[in-house]
Amino acid sequence: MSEIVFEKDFSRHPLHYFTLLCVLLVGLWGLFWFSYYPGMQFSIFISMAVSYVVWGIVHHREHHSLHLKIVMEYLLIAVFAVLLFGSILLRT
Amino acid sequence: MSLFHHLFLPHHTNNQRAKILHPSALSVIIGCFALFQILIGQVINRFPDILGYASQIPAGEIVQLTNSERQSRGLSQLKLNPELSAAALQKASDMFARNYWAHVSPGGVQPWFFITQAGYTYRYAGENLARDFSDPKSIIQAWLNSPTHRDNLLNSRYEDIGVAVVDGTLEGKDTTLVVQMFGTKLASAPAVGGRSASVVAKALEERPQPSHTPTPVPTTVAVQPGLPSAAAYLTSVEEPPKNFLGFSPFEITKFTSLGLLTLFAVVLLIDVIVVNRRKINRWTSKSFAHLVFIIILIIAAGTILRGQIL
Repeated sequence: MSEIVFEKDFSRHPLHYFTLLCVLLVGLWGLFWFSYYPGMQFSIFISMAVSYVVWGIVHHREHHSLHLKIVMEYLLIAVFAVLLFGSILLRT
Repeated sequence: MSLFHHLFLPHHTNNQRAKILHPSALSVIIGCFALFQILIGQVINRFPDILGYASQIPAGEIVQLTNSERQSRGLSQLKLNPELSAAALQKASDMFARNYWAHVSPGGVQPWFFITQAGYTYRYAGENLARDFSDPKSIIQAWLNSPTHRDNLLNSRYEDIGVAVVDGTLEGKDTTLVVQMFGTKLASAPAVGGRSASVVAKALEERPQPSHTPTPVPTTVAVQPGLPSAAAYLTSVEEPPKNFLGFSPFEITKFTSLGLLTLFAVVLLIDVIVVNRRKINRWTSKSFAHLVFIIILIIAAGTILRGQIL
């Protein structure tokens, strides 16, 4: 159940990576659009983080490589990002 | 060096993945960052002299840089005027009190109201605004890059300047507001034929004194509690209060957060390159996906942290 190298992974699932990029870019656009409303920006960012974790789960499920350890990695990166970005956004 | 490899590079000691990308290390970093934020909050509350909020934008330096730019273009230097500084402070206080980021308040009060209220009878007046900048040079550069703000900054008709730098919370964010007001007193400027009384207040506009008495929307400018009074401010215009460390808490958070995001982006990039070059087979999450996510975050953070001018 080893992971395939990136080139193979990308060529096998281009739609997965395209979807991830689209979701994150839409989120980025939302962050710019609501630049006057930090609360909405934070909500958009939380949605981006959740979408990212869901993407990871779906991607690895398709890959037949889904495991709790993998889910934890996506979850921890998302929490890490929310904490760091939130501290900048909410100026704490 | 082996510790460096272990922490940041795919290596046989870390199961071919940088240790800081492992769930255990990530959990420790998340915990440390959360504790760090709590610690900063506690220090601010208990020892405000050590880490109290302090702007790193001295008003005096804004005046000095403005005059340097004018002098380099053969224009006269502007004199720091206490009345214009008081007007700028009142404007900043009004923006915090009424929670707006605009030249004209939601109640319709124009910048000229604060100038006349401060006792400055103007023939020409103008206003530049800036927020969320971390140093005076960036503010001056941003104003110079904008044609309308530049026109105000380098206008030969102005003789006086007033600047206020005030920290507070605006639209839900801790913000440093910079209000720069320009003016020429009615008595000191030569009369200009055909003065217009119908100048619309916009970003950095030079405004001739109307031929009739201005009729601002009657309103009381509520100064936010905790803000310095105009008199107190004017005595400290050259030296704003600074905390023991010389950094605001938000600057410390900002540098730490951006530093960690950049570190992770670099480690992930190296991981993607090395793993593909060595054709390493692993059973882990996708570093490339993490990298895309972190890069999008850095772009967003960079935009959010960029100062704004008006």
